Amino acid sequence: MSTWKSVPRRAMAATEPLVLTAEQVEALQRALQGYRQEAFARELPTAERNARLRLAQSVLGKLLEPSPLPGGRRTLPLTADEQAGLRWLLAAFRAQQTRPAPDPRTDWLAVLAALEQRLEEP
Amino acid sequence: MALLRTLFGHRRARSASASPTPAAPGGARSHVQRHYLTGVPYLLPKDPLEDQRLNYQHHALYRTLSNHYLAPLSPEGLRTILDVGTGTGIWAVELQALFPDARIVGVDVSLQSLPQPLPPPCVFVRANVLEGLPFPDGQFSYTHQRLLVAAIPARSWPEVVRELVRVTAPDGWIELLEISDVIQPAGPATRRLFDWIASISRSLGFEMEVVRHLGELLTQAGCVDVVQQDIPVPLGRWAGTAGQLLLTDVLHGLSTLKDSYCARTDTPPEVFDEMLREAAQEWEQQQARYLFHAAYGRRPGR
Repeated sequence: MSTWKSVPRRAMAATEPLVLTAEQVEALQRALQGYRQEAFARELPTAERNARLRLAQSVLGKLLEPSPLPGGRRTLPLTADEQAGLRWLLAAFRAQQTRPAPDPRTDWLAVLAALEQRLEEP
Repeated sequence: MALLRTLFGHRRARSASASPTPAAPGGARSHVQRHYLTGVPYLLPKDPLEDQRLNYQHHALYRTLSNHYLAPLSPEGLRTILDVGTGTGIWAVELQALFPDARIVGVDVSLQSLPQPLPPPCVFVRANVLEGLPFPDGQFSYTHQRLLVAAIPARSWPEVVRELVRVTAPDGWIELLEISDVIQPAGPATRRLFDWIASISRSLGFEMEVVRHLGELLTQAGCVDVVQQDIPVPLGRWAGTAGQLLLTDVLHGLSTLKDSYCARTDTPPEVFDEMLREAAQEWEQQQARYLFHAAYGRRPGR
């Protein structure tokens, strides 16, 4: 798997905020928490790992901010750097799923795959 | 007071307040004169050498844990931050750089370790969390406490965590981070060293078991969105720079216990040095990891 590199400073401007459903918020929270657990448990503390962990932490912070929109939806404003990092994390998360998982996790994967596709859109 | 007598029973207390006094509990045989606080149950020295170690530890933790905090903070919601057991104040100062718009307050039983002049705009207050914090309810949007297992007797933990939650604002985060007594994998020398340390700590009222339940303590204190994370941090040169940093910190940290623990048990310091040396060899050979326990949770919203 390719490694994630922070995007150049000039590309750090905020992108169009994503509006996530409650289901997408929960799936993304699970993925980011899972990534943090795995990275702490299995990866040596390199500068690159630490940058990815800080990014996951930052996006989690935005997801967990109080006062969601009606219906549990949430606006997720991301910098270009965060968007690139999130794409990388979601791809890494998908790559780790080597076999079908029992429900409801399978559903979370489908939700995340759709979210990943949205992040790829121009 | 019974606990204090137990803790410092072999030492002449010079003051009832948290001020430093020379010599290790028990009158240790050491060529380096260490200073300890009196009037508070704190097992580690309080002197420039220890301050240096604490600052070093701060940088080692940043390299190994990726950040100065683990809670999923959002800068927009951070107005006030509390650091309990601030020590040299280095965490508070660096958080101020990360969150320049936040008001950061550090508390400690002794402010003697703070740099002079005090770094503005951080505010430091002398207070003992074991006796309650001098702040109104719901004052802080983020409350942080780490590495106080040698300062908080086991039976006081639930009350301390409730106090941290009390001063935190609704929807604010409370974070706890502690080092454990678990090294994985642990060979016989490592087990021998840690069993010895644990038995003395236990006799003084300090129980490492409690740090395995930080998440439960937050939940019992009413927090929601609680996450407990056990972090096995690589320990030793085998793990590169970060592993080396943590190794140096752990070796110095354990050595700070040496004087007082050896004196209490009539153990020659050379025996301790040998135990530590053998354990450190195992850490390299077995690519060991030192387990940290972290937990964070949120005070329920209004």
